[in-house]
Amino acid sequence: MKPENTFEIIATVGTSEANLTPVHGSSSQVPTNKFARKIYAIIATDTSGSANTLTIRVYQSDGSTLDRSFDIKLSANETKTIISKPDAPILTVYAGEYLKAIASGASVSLVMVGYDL
Amino acid sequence: MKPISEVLLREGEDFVIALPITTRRTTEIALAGFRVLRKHPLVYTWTSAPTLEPYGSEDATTDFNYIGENGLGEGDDIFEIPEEYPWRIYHFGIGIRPSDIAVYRAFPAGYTAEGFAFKVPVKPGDKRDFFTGAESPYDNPTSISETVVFYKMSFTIALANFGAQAVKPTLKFLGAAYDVAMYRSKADLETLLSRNVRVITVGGLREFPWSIPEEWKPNVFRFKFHEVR
Repeated sequence: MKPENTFEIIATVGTSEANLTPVHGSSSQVPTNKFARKIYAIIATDTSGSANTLTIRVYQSDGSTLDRSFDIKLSANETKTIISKPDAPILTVYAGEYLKAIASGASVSLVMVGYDL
Repeated sequence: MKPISEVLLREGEDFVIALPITTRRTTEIALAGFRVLRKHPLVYTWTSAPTLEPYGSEDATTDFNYIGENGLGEGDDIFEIPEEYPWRIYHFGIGIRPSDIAVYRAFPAGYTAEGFAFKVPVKPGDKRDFFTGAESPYDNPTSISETVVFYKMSFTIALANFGAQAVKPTLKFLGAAYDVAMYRSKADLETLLSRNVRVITVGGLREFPWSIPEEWKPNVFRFKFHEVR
């Protein structure tokens, strides 16, 4: 895996579900010609000024059936940084699955870094 | 796969270019023998590729076209050798950045380079008969991308984006330009073949129409396939 193969996902996530699409990408669906998308860094900042919960959701390939999810809890204005190494990713989204997110409060600024295998 | 630098020839080395005449029951090929007199470095960083949309998009692929100074099929063809250079032969590999970009080749133009013996020619975006930056990295092109071009041999490529992001790829053509002298008798060629000379099959041994410089024609000889040892 080379640096040229990594990409960022940058999104402002509010109370409506947001698609987590790679920068210059066109879809939050992992391409079907790949094995999986590996995320090895997540930086989340609350921008609402209140305690907030960011929920990361992975949908099946139909785009509507929730398969799994997890929460990242943030205090008001808190930034949480979860960084691993490219060869020890913290999240796997398989080919055809969709990566989305929603927040309990007004907004969370979210950056993810990953790559497709 | 070897780095392309390991398959390039040295000054003073001999090689043979093989072109198919018939590949039916009795395969016959035309052979032209050469010696490398002078080897020039050949490097071209091609930054004029179009932006390719993410995999699955309509514009994730291009059609086959020549590699132009201003883009794919735009401007002067950087691999068109003028008629004043019948003894100049290009031998190079193609490095690709980023890795998710696939290159399909056709040489001569209209005849796709293929390994699989499918009846339908490969199309850009197909899952066969391409190489990506994983097989031939930008900084170290490998033998999978080995290509030979001479005067009258046209060379085209098509590109496909297998990644999730829109990208404007960069290709590096790295190899050598040879000034060659040609062997002028069939006996010379037989001697070369007996010495396990490097035989380069431009475009493979399928049947396709090919053209060679006029200056080569008196010294190109027919061989049956079993005579090539």
